[in-house]
Amino acid sequence: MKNRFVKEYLGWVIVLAVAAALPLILTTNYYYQLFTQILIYTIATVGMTIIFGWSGQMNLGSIGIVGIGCYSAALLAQHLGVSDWRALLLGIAAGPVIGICLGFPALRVKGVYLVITTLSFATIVYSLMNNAVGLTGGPAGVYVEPLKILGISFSNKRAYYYFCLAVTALVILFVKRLNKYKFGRTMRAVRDNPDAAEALGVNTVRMNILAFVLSATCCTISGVLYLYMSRMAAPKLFTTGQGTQYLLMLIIGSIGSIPGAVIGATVITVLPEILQSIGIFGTNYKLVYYLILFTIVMVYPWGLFNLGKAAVAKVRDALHRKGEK
Amino acid sequence: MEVFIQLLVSGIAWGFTYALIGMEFTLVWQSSHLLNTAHTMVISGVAYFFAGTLLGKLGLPIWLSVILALVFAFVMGYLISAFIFNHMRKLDIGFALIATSIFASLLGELYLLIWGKNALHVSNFLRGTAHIGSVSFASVYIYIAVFSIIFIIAYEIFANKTKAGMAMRCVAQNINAAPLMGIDVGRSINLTTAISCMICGIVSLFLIPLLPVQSTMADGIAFKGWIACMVGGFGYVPGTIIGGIFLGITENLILMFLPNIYKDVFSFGLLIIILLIRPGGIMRHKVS
Repeated sequence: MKNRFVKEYLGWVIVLAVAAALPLILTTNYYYQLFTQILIYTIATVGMTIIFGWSGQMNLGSIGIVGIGCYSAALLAQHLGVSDWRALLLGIAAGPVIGICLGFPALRVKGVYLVITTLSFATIVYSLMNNAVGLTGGPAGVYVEPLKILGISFSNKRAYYYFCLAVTALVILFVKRLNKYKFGRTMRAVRDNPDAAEALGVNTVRMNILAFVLSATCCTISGVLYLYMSRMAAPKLFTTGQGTQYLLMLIIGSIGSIPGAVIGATVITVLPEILQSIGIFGTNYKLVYYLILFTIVMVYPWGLFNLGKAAVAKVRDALHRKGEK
Repeated sequence: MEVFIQLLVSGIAWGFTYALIGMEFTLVWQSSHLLNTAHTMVISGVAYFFAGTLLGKLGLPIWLSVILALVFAFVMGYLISAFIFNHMRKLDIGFALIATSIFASLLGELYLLIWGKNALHVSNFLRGTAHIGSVSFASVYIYIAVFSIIFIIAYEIFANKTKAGMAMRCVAQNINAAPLMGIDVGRSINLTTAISCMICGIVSLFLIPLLPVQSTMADGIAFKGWIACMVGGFGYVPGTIIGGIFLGITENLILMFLPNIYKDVFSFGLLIIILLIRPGGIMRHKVS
C-alpha cells in the first residue's frame, strides 16, 4: 500500500519541489512571469485533457472558454470594482455555466460537426470581445488592479507565482484522483463504447455533460489566473491562432495524460523564449519554433510523454534481455 | 429599396465565396476524412503571390498572373496532401487537424519573412462600379457570381465525366472499396486536395479587391465557409453551395435591422439553430 502511494506520487512531489525551488534560483520578474505562465497553461491543458483524452469529444473551443473566464473576472473588476476572492470565484463559476451551454448542443453533434461547432464558438467569442466595444472595451482590452485575497495583495510576481502553484497542485491532485476511481473509468467506458456503457447502467448524457463542465471549469480557472498575471484582458490573447497553441500543448505533451499536459505546457511556453534568447534567428525565431513543432508532430504525433515512455520501455527491455543472456 | 438591392447583390456575391470555401472544405473531407485547416493560409498565400510577386515584382500581365496564381495554389495543395494528409490519414482526425494548423502558423511566419509586415493592395484588378437601373455597386460582386457559377459547372463536368473525377467520387463514397476497383487512393487524395486548394486560389483572387492582402485576411471567410457546410449539410457539395448562398443573403439582409458587428453572431446563432432543429442541414441530406 505504502509502496503504491510512493510510486504514484513520488514523481509529482519531486516536480512540485523543483517548481517551488525555481523562483529562489532564478530571481527576476521575467522568470516569475514565465513560470506563472507555464502553470496557467498547465491548468488549461489539464482541462483539455479531460474533454479530449478521457471523454473523447473534440472540443476546439477551449480558447473561447479561457477567454470568457478571463473577461468575466475583468468586467467584474471594471464595472463593479470587485477585485478579490469574489472575482476569482465568479470568474471560475462561468466555467460550469458555459460547460452546460456547450455540452447540451454537443450531445447532438459528433465528430467533425463538433469540431466545427466548437471552433465557431471560439471565433464568435473572439469576435464579441473585439467588436462589442460598449461591453468589453474592444481591441484595447480591460486593465485590472492586482488580486487581493484576505488583505494580501498579490502585486508581487513571486507571491503570485506561489499562489498559482498552489492552485495548479490542487487542480492536478483533484483531476488525478477523479481519473483513478469510478468517475474516470466510467468516462473512458463512455468514450470507447457508449452503447455498452449505457447497457451497464451508466448515464452517458450525464457523463458527457460532466466532462464539458469539468473541462470548462479548468479553462476558466486558467483564464482568471491569466487575467491577474498579465493584469489585462485583451481580445488578441484569445484568437484561434492562440487556440492552436493550446492544442499544441495537448498534442506535444501527449493527449490524455496529466504529465503530458505539464510537459506540453512547459515546452510550448519555454521553447520560443529559448529560441529568442539564443538570438541567431533574429526576429524570425518564431519560424524556427513552428518548424520544430511541425517536425515533432509529423515524426511522432503521439507526444513527448509517450515518446519518453516508449524509450524507457525499450531501454528496460534491452537491459532485461542482457540480464537473461 | 436601393439599400435592399445593394445588400442582396453583395449578399449573393459573398454567398458564392462562402459556397466555394465550403466546397473545398467538403472535397477534402470527402476524399480523405480529414480537415484542411491550413486553407486560410493557402488563400492568403495565393493572394500574396499574386499581388506581391507576380504583379508587384515581376510586373506580369493580369491574365498570366491569374493562371500562374492558380497553378501555385494547385501545387501547394498537392504538397500539403502528399506530405501531411497521406502521412496522417490512417491516424485519428485530430492529428491531421493539428498538423495542418501548425503548418498554417508556419506558413504565416514564412509570408512575413518573404513579403514583409505591411498589407499589400492591388488597385487595378476587378475594380470599378456596375449599375442596375439607378442602383450602383462594386462590379467585383458580378464577377464573383459569374465566375463562381462557371467554376461550379466546370467542376461538376470534371467530377461526372472524366476518369479522374469519377475516381475521386468513388473514394468519397467508400474509401475501403476504392482500392479494390483499382484506384490509387493516395493519388486521388492528392488530386482532390490540389483541386480544393485551387478553389482557395479562386476565392483569394475574388478577395483581393475586397480586402487588404495579409496573412489573416481569410480567417473570417473560412469561418463562414464552415457554417455554410453545416447549414447545407456536411459532406454534400450541392447542399454546401445552397447553404453558402443562403447564409450570404440572410446575413447581409439582417444588416437592415442590426448593426454590422452582430453579423458574425447572427451566423453562429443560425448554425446552432440549424444543428438543433435540423442536424442534417437545410437540404436534409443523409450523411453516412
